[in-house]
Amino acid sequence: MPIMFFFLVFLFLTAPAKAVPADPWGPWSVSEDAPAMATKADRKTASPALLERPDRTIAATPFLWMLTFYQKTVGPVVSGRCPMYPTCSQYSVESIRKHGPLVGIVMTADRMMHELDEQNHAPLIKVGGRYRYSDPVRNNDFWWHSE
Amino acid sequence: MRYPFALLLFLMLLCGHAVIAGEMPAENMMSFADSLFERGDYYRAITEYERVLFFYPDHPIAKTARFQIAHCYFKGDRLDQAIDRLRALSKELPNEEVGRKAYFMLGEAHYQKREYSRAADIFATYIETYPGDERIDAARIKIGWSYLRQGQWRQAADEFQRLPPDSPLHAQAEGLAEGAESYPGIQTKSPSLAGGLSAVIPGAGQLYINRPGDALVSFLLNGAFIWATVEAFQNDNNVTGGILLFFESGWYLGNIYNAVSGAHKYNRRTEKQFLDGLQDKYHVSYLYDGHGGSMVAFTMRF
Repeated sequence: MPIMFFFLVFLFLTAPAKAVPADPWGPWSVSEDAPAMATKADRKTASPALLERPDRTIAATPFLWMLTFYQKTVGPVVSGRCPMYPTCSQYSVESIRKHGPLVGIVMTADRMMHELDEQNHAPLIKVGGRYRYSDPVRNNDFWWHSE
Repeated sequence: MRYPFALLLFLMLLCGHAVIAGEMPAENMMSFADSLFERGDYYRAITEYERVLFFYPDHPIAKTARFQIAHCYFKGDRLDQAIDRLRALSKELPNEEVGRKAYFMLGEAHYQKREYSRAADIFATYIETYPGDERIDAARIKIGWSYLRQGQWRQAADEFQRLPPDSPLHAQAEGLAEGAESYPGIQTKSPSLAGGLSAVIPGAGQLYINRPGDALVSFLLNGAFIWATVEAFQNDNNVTGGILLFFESGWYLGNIYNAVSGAHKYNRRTEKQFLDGLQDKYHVSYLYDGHGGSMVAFTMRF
């Protein structure tokens, strides 16, 4: 019985959130001469989780609440320090939404460890008037998860 | 007073007629659409090509407009829409130049989508279906590249070597075949070894994959949490120990994930550098101009 319970908890924690595909329609452009629209570069660097609003699993909800609480209270004070895009807290939100809390937390720990050396390889992008190193979730799960 | 007013009315009628008579010919519409295409404003260019199709569906230029719409999607990185259009066009007009071009570009769209196996199949079918076509050699090089992108360097080298000696791309294909043969010489790191090393000593795997910063952070974080956990349990502070153990589990698993992921990233980067270098050295592209014309272009750095 306890084995069954732990198995269920494991399944519960590892269940990824269901992703809703982004709408491919609407004005777009790859030209700087068409300024009203998002550029190709924007679309490539934009974090998919910001473009999509996927469903949450029940297990992910408390973690997402805590992260949202952090982003709303502590985040505004310390957010300027994070050199990465998305920021570590947003990365955590996205990885938990994408892969569930268990893998999401492990990926968050990985992100916090690899910030230093990743800056030697990640492309610099301008976000909100500031340059940051682009390191989306897909840059760290490409070897085991296909989009 | 009455006569000038009548004259004005007459003039207005004349002008109105002139506007109706001045409906834009298909060529002019096409020219405007092409100018948008040339500027890279593909979204608006599609609208203009659609206008040509709406007003002149049976005009000979309509087929080019359809191809150009697909071309806009291709250039605009809307590859799914491009694939739909190109597939439809190549199926409807298989014996016309525009249909052949569409089929070739269909292969390129799959290649851009990194669907290399599908791209190779399409280029192979292209060679089979249009044996006398001018794009055959370019298609063969694309097949070789599709194999190379999948790490199948032997098949890639074979495909490059199949280009006939009289082909204008032969010298380039020879260079590519030689480059493909050197593919196994790419220095890679073993993800399992990196993960194993980090499982034994946190940070060791990161050192192996040349990430000293990650190694230091991983070693210090895990070391500090392991030390604190052991201290808490030794002092019978089991609750604190449990909380610390929970956090340390995350750091420890994250450390292993970090090493494995770092090895994969290292290998991806090394492979990309090798392939980009090869592509840079022997670049081939099949270009289409704004009027649907086409040409094979290749550049060689030496």
